[in-house]
Formats: sequence, C-alpha cells, structure tokens
Amino acid sequence: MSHISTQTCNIKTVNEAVLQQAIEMVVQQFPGMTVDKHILDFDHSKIPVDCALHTPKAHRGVGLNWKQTLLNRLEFTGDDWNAGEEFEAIRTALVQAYQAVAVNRAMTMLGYQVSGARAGANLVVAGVRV
Amino acid sequence: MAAKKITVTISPDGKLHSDYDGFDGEACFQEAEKLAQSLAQQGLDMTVVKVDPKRREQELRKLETSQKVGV
Repeated sequence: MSHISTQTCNIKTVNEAVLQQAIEMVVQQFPGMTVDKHILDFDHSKIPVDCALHTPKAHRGVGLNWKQTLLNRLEFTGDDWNAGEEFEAIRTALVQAYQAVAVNRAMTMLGYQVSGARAGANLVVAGVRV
Repeated sequence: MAAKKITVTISPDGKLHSDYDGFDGEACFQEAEKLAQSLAQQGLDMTVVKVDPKRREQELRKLETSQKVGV
C-alpha cells in the first residue's frame, strides 16, 4: 500500500547549511536582490541582523535572525513601509525554499535520487529509490 | 523490485503534500516516519494533517498505465 499525506511544516531550529542554500535560491528568484548583514530603519539607520535581503522594492531589507533567538528559531524583521507585498513575498519564498532544500537533503540521506522543479507557485521535490 | 518514489509538493502556504508510490504494506508509513526524522535534522517540524491510503486498484491502474507508456 502507498499513501498520500498532507503536512503542515515549520522551521523549528535553523540548519545554517539549509538556510544558506535557500537564500541562494531566493536571490535568483528576485531580480536585483542583494544580501548583507543589516536592514535600514525609518531614518535609514543600519540595524544589524544575521542576514538581510534587499530588493529595489524592499530596499530597507527583510532581516533574518536565528543565532540569538530562542531555540534558534527563524525570525523575520524589518520596516515594510510601502513594501508590504514584497516583504511578504520574500518571506514566503524563503520559507518555501528552505522546505524544498530540507526535503531534498532528507531524501538524499535516505538513499533517494532526488530532483526538483517549480510547478506554478509550488516547488516539487521527487525522489526515486530502486 | 519496483522503484519506490516519493513526491513532495511544497505550496507557498507552507503545506507539504507527499505522495508515496511503490511501497508494500505498511512500508510507506515507516518511510514517512523516517523522512520526518530526517527532516527534523534539517530543522523542520512536520505535523500530519491528512492521510489518504491508496487503494490497491489505484496502484494497479497506475502501474498498468506506466507499463503501457514504457516508464
């Protein structure tokens, strides 16, 4: 018997190798995105974060923190003034990319030949083991 | 031995839709448990919200189709 299941999925404790790969995927997805270590607040003062993703629309940056958070949970921070949709799109893309990278690595650890693809708004990871 | 296949579709709302193919008996559930443990090592915490076992007829139909197209 085989089955189909649906799961909800949260990033509980950040795996930095997975996050790094996820960030690389998201950078390719958003034209003009740059990565550094600070976001800008309302008066353009720099606020240090573990990682910041800037785009032309979200120029103040989407900040990511995990090194000092409780249980190394991933937290998003930043001033999304006038860039709320972009901010949310980046956050969503990063979580989705993290999940895809994690699934890819998990299947590989279990001995599957893994491939990935985008299908509309979804990411599909398929593993085959003979 | 038939190949075992897992297809995971990740939607923007954070839900994972997993499709297990080619597993005998309860083996797919055991594999799902292994995958969940492996995902936990990558920092992901999964909660299963729905499980639909595939009927034997569904699997046979799928197998016949794939044999006809030479997959």
